[in-house]
Amino acid sequence: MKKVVCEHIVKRFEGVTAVNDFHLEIADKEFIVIVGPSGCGKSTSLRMIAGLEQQTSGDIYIGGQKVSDKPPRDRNIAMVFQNYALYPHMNVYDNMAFSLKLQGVDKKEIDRRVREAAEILNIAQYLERKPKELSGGQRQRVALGRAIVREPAVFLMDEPLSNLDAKLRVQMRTEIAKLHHRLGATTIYVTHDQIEAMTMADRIVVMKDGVIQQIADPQTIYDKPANRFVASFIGMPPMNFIDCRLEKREAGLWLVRETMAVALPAAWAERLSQRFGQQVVLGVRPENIIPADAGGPLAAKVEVVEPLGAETLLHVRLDGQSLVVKAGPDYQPDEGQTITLSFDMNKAHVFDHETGTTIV
Amino acid sequence: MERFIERNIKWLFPLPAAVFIVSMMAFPVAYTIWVSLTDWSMTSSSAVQFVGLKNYIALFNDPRFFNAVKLTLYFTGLAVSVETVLGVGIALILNREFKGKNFVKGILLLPMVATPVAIGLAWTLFYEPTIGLGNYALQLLGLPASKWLASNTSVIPALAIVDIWEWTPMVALIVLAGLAALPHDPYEAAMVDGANTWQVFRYITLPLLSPTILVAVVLRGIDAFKTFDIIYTMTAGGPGFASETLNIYAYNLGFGYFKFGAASSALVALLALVLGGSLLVLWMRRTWEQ
Amino acid sequence: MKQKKHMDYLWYGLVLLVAIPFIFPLAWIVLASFKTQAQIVTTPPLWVFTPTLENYQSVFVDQQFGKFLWNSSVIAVGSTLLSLIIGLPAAYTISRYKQKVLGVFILLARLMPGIAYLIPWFILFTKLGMVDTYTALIASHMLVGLPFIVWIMVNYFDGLPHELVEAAQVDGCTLQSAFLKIVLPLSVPGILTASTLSFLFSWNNFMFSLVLSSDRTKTLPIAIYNFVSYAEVSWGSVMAAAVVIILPAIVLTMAFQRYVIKGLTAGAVKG
Repeated sequence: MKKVVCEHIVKRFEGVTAVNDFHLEIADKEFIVIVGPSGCGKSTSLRMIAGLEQQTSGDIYIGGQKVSDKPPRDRNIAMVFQNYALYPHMNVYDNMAFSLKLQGVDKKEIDRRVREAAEILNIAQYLERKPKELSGGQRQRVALGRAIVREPAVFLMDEPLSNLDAKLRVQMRTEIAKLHHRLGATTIYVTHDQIEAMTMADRIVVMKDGVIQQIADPQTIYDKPANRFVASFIGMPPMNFIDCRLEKREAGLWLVRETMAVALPAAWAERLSQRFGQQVVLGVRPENIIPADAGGPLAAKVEVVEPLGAETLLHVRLDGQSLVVKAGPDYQPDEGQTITLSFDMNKAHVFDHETGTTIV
Repeated sequence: MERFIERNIKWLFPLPAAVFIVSMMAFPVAYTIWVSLTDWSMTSSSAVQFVGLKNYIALFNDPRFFNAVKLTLYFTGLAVSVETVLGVGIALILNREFKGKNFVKGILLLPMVATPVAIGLAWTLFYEPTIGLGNYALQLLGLPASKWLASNTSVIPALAIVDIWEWTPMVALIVLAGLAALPHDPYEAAMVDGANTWQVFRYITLPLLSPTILVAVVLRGIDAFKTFDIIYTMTAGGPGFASETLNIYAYNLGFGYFKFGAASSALVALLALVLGGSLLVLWMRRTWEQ
Repeated sequence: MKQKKHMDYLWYGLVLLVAIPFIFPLAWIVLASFKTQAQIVTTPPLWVFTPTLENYQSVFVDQQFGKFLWNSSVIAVGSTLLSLIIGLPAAYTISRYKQKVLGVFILLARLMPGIAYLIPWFILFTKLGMVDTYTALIASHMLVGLPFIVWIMVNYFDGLPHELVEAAQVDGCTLQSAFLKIVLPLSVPGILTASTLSFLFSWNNFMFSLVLSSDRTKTLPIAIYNFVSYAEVSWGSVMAAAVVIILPAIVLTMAFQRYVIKGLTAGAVKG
């Protein structure tokens, strides 16, 4: 039983609400990623679970035990920090052994666990070194090692990869995922990087301005974002948003701008019935816009072409609105050329103009 | 217990230091202010009486007090201005990598850490009119002999020379550290713009360095204002009252004549000057930075 | 190329010109400490002479400087250690919790002229019968050392990443054990800087000892000062005594030169 439950946690700093009504139940062995822009309260939430910050209200349970008022050391957690936070005056071995020594684990057992962890993480040859003699990637491994020797109920990771260069980050991402499969420990991972969230998480928690926007598995987050913010935050390049007016015509429902008009699937009629004549926002991901040289209903002017090898990104202008379109590698129109677009409406979304909540 | 300490660490950790500072500093200062309002004197056997501002009125009517204020400012101004010019000059000379740089820095440290009383006595010997090195040096240079500490006019400059010897290195080391922390880009830009050495110093180094120099001047100013050891050991305020700075004046009142009440009023005046001066400098710095 | 070489010589000459005035008086003190009174009062000054140990003998045997050396050491070490014990935790929370009021208070203690406390201390310690005790002297010297230590260490702690303490908390430390096991070991350079300077301030202190010490606890600066109150000054002994006082300060400074420079220039240069 290594569940983690956060019950309606609130955190206020000097009158400013940093985290509001954070409610999350995490299953045993689950890998949860909390993602959001900087200042969204994700780190604060993690630090409250760790006990490094005291929540203003709400309760936290780890492994069925209420830990709301307990100091970090009594919460059976391990944490990996953004800047690694290795103890500079201790060598790698002592860094990893420190918590076990404090617990009074016997020397042989400490030695066994440290060496095993070092083996897993491929740092066995550096045990005698001081942190400053290690590269960024190696330090990151030591920080992970320090966490896993504890065999804690929960791993907490606060943007652990953000100090690594791009290539190493991808590599460590895979390793952390593998480590999680191997150890099967409950993990809460905070990041601002949506790719890390998508690739590693069992479930993603998207936060903004101290409020949880959506909790769901990566595919659901991607396919069925709860609101415009989630839709824009997850996915690269981000979803296109087009302000339109919803009109009911003889031939069904239409989204209309000055020159643009898009027909909506008939199935949506019921959910949109309250909003005829209103302003709404159409959201379409770049890969759901299909470009063609001619023949489609929507004419757009190509402004910039970015061939990326595996695909081509087109920046186009449609009815005064800039859109990004993801096309196949072979499709490379000239800049300035007029092409026509069609939207895959089954994968499009309609958001409320004011609140941004998903309507369809 | 552990948990109690941890929860209240914010207050428990600084508590001993705070208690110490309050009992050894805040309380004595308050006490001094109180004593300054009494006629407390060790030489009088009558009971201590509250006399209001009488000591202050006496203080402001005492020509020795104004003499002391004047001498303190004279000594401080003379010593600190020479130290600043010499210190900046020395720092500019030493501001490059060379063999033995640390050794030279070590030599600069010595006057600062050598015990002032011992230094004061040694300089007393140098200043001795007949057998001292001072007049011997003047003679070698073909200059007339000086009476140094024995004359009303030369005593303050002679004392200032000792302070300058002791503390010019501090200005030099602070400025040297400041020079090491200067950014490189403006220099490269100036070189590209074709500035010569003097122009680089005048338009780049000096403006960038002036905050550091200001800090050095302030630190030195505060310390020079409080100078006691050197003056007390070398002249004790003499000849006559020709080197009686505020510190010495207050000390003489208190522990020469044991007039605690009168001495305390002088100390309160000294405190007001030091704190007022420090606040003024802080305020100037803040407005200047904005 | 040749001209550059000439410039170099010129520049080294300049460095010598800078260094000599600062070392010369000290060298002269050492030289004079090995001269007889007659040799000292000769003009022009004697550069070559047969050294004598007479002065040192007089300082240690007749004047009992051994005792004063001991007193000075006890007071300097005692006031530095005690200042560290109460100053380090205070500096830590001032830095960690931004306790501005306390910080300003400590800074004030550094700016205050020490003479402002002399009269109340004298009255107070006389009433308590503590004049001429190690306790009174150590306490008074701490008022110089403590603010300095706190000031240096607040700056030092500000530079330590706070994540280290959090990591230790997660690893099983209380805040106080994290302070002992993580923060202090990492602060050794800062502590060395602060304690060296605190020791030197106490070692060199004259004013407080002048009022608060007497026969039992007389420190070196007072002892040497008493020399000149005699009718005829024995300059040789004064110089020997000066060497005895200054030498430990210089040795300490040389051993910790880097730290002493840091301490003396601390806070003056930002960034």
